Amino acid sequence: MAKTILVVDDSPTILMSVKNNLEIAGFTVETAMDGIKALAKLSDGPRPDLIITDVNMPNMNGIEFISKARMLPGYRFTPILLLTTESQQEKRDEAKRLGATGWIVKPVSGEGLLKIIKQVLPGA
Amino acid sequence: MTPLLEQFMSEARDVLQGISEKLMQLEAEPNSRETINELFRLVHTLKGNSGLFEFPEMTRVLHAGEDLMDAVRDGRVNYSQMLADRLLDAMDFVNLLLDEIEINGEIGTNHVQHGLQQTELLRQLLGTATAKTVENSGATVAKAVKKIHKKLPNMASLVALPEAQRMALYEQSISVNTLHLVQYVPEHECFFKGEDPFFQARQIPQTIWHSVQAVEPWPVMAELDAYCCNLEFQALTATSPDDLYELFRYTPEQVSINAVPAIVMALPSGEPNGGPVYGDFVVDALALLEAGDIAKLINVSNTMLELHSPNLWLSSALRWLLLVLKLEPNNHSAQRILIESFNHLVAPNWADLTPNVEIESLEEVTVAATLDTEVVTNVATNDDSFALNFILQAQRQILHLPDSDTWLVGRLNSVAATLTAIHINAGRQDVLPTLQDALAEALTASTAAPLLMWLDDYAMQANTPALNAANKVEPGVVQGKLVGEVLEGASLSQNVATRLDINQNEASTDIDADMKFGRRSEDSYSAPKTLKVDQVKIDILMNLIGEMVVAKNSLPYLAGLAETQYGVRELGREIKSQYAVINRIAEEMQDAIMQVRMMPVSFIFQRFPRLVRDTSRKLEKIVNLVLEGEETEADKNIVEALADPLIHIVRNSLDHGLETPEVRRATGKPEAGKLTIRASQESNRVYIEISDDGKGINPDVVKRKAYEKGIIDEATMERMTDQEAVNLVFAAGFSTTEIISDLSGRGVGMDVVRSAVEKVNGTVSIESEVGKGTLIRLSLPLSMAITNVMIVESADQAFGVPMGMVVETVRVPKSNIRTIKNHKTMVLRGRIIPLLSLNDLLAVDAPQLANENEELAMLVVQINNESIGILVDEFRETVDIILKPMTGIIGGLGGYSGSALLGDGSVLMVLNLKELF
Amino acid sequence: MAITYDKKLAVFQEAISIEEADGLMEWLIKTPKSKIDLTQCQHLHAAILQVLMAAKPVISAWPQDENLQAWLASALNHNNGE
Repeated sequence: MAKTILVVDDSPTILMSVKNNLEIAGFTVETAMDGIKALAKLSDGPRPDLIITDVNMPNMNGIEFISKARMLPGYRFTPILLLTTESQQEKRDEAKRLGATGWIVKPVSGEGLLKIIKQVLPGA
Repeated sequence: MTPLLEQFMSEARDVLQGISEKLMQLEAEPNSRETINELFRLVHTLKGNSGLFEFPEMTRVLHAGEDLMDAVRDGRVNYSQMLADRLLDAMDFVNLLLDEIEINGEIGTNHVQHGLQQTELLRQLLGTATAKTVENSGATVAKAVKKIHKKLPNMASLVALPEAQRMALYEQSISVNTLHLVQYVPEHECFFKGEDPFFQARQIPQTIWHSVQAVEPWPVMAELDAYCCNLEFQALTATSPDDLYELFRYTPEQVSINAVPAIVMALPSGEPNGGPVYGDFVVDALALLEAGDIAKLINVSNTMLELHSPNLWLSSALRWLLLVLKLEPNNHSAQRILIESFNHLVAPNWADLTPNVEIESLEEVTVAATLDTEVVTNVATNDDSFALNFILQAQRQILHLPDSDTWLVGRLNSVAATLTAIHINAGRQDVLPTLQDALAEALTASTAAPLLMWLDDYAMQANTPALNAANKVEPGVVQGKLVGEVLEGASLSQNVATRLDINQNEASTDIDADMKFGRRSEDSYSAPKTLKVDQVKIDILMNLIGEMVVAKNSLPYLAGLAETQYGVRELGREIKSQYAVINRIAEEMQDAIMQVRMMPVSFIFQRFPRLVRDTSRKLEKIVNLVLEGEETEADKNIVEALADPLIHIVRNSLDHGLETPEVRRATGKPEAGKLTIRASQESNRVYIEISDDGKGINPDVVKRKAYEKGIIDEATMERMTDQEAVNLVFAAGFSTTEIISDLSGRGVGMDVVRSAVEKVNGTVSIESEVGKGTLIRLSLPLSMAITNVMIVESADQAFGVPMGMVVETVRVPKSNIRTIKNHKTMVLRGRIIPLLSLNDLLAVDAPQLANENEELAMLVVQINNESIGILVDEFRETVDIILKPMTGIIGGLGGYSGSALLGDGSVLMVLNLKELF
Repeated sequence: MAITYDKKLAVFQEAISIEEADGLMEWLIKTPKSKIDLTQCQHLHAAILQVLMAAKPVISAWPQDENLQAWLASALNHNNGE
């Protein structure tokens, strides 16, 4: 059964790149451009098995999104990965504290991305 | 170009524009948090995106820009004009790279140097940011101290592995120390972070032994909190520590990874009741061991082994003893423990061999190493401290290997190289000379001692309080025991050393990135609610609608055919009424597509704040720029065609029109000049006015100049009006300033502006008053997609003439045509107009045909403010056409502006009369 | 459902997620002498694992997945995995 992954990023370029890579690997991919839209997707629509979110986004940033998502029913235990750059250690720590599972350092190759996902998503 | 790259290019252009706008805004209000945050976010996004591709030059510059903006955001660096200048320059560089990617699909190597310069310029501004970072290292150190490991667990269950396999592992592990124990205690609330620690533990590769235990005893089922993690995972693995750190990178504080001595594999197994052991054996063996008579011990053991069945526990223990004697001849304590185990036939618990004290001191060394590397590097992340801890420890271990080794020279060099790399990385180049000395000394003396001393001294030198604790530990002693007796292999260090070398490259680029501790507050940014479509797609639509119009136009012809040829009037009428419907839809569609192509002039206006800022600064003038009517829309091609002429005009105004503050003050004007760019729309034309309150154009100066340059003769100069004189600035080859300036000059005058505007069927006019200022007005069509042309015939061919040029059509009796000095002319309403025959212009060797009344068809056209009569054979209707520029070989052909398809499928060539004269 | 309950036997299939923890606990509490069949089990979440470790039901069949079996053998204190 294809796993569903929600990717949240305000950059269409990143969305396109990540989506392409994931779809090639057989995942079903949903996308959202900011935290608010992502929360809307979570409360309404198929439940993703994994969420990947950017940090800096307009309207609602990734960290706030993670903390809000953790309060939604059904998302207490969902793995959430933060898309960050190597310079965002403090963001990672904060996100981890607020419920992120891990992070992906941008830029990431398709292979690298899949490796990370396989590490947090049993059965992927 | 891949779709992803296209997407990147398009987003990158937007972001660059955004960056330049934000910088402009910041100029106006340098303290706006919001703008600074947004600016950071934009640079950050662009950098992140560029990393998806192999554009190292671009990424490097953007990385520096991002760091700089981050520092500005955190208040570590203050915003300054220089900062804005450099950032703008850097973004220009990025834009240049984008252009190159667009053209060549890649970035040429010629940009490397420039890229490095840009990066360096940005980094220079960051220079002062380091001090703060050092203070912060304390926090990281504190974290590292917490990492105290527990003693080795009892791994008795390893016995479940077949003896042969364990022996193989032991042997392998002695020569190349590969065994590591992973101890992983997830935090209680880890499930609520999407973690599955069991899944995580299961991913430890090449595990030999596993254990899962409860941290606290399990409560009764009814009280169990399934969501509070109470597990501890342990595994023995033959994987390299690198892979393990990588695996546990999200939770490094919850795991400890320690090298495990190979001896833990030595667990005798087998049938315990094989009869009594020769009571003396243990005593004898221990005595031989004590006396150092290993040969005899081996002998005795072999004899014992021969006397017993191989599947006995005893035999297994003997085999282990022999193996240890062979492979670890100096590990006497292990040998003793093995011998003593014969007494009770229980496999030794090797955890006891490595007593707590030693294990703990190993930890302290680990911590100590971590501490001084932390201090050294300032910036080590948690993950790094893992690595660094191993690196320094590894160097010590390597140095402790016997000096007699044939690889000593290589080893010393490699240790020195590793240490050099660490310190360069940490910005501690100052210690390198002493390191070099130590290396030289070590090489001459063929001993590792000088380097070891350097390492120890170095640790002592550091005077951070956090290090004091570390200084109490005497690394040498601990190393001597542990390394010499139990671990005995230095392979681990080799691993780590290699790993460091690899990391070096990455690390050096990351070091700046890690130098931040500031908080990133988020910002709001509203994305435009527009759909981005590649222009090519719109062009396709445009072409399609053009063809549709053509196809549609064949319907009236068909209706006529039905009526006249087939005599079915009804059908003809039906076709006509259907045609009306299709015609309406086609027109609306055409209109809608043209609307899509419309874009606001703000697209080009937005670059003016920057242009005006940079230029006026260079000229040391003060200029207030006023932009009006930016929302005015026109066809994309028109707007784009406007860009260059407008820039030229603006530069001219700044350069020649507006005066320096001193001059302005002297003439009673405000110091700051005013430059207004205003766009507006009237019916189907767009007007752009560029006005300044500068010194204006002096008609006398212009006249004299034009005369000097031979553009006008003396007589013309005498009778010229002031306005006519001012218009001379549009004449080819005219430039008013003597010195060709770097800005507007290079010998290109306003004539270039005029021709560029005329190319899109626009006009340009100028008004100027000396001392008051100059106004330049451009008038442009809203759209150039649809052209209204008149079809004329000449020499049996149809040609199109743009209606914009046609003043009137007249039938001229042949007799009215006069020839003056070989030129045909005629008098039209009291004015003499020159006549030209189209056949002559097109070099067709045929006279123009007259009608039955001996009248010639004459098209009066306006060219360069002059009326000219063009004689043709016949006029026909006017049509709306979609003009397609000519491409390929005929593209180079002068005299035509393009071609169009007509309703009957024929091709109409549209004349460019200006080029024909 | 990745766990199917059949009187005194719970059959685990494929990957068992943490969402199953509540149901499993409830079943284990009200089903004394319960048995677990892990033959087709690929993975079970750490939360599920600790429920099993605390409840100590009889493992009637071990997983075919060798890595999982090795880990579970150490966790659930059985030796038939070896």
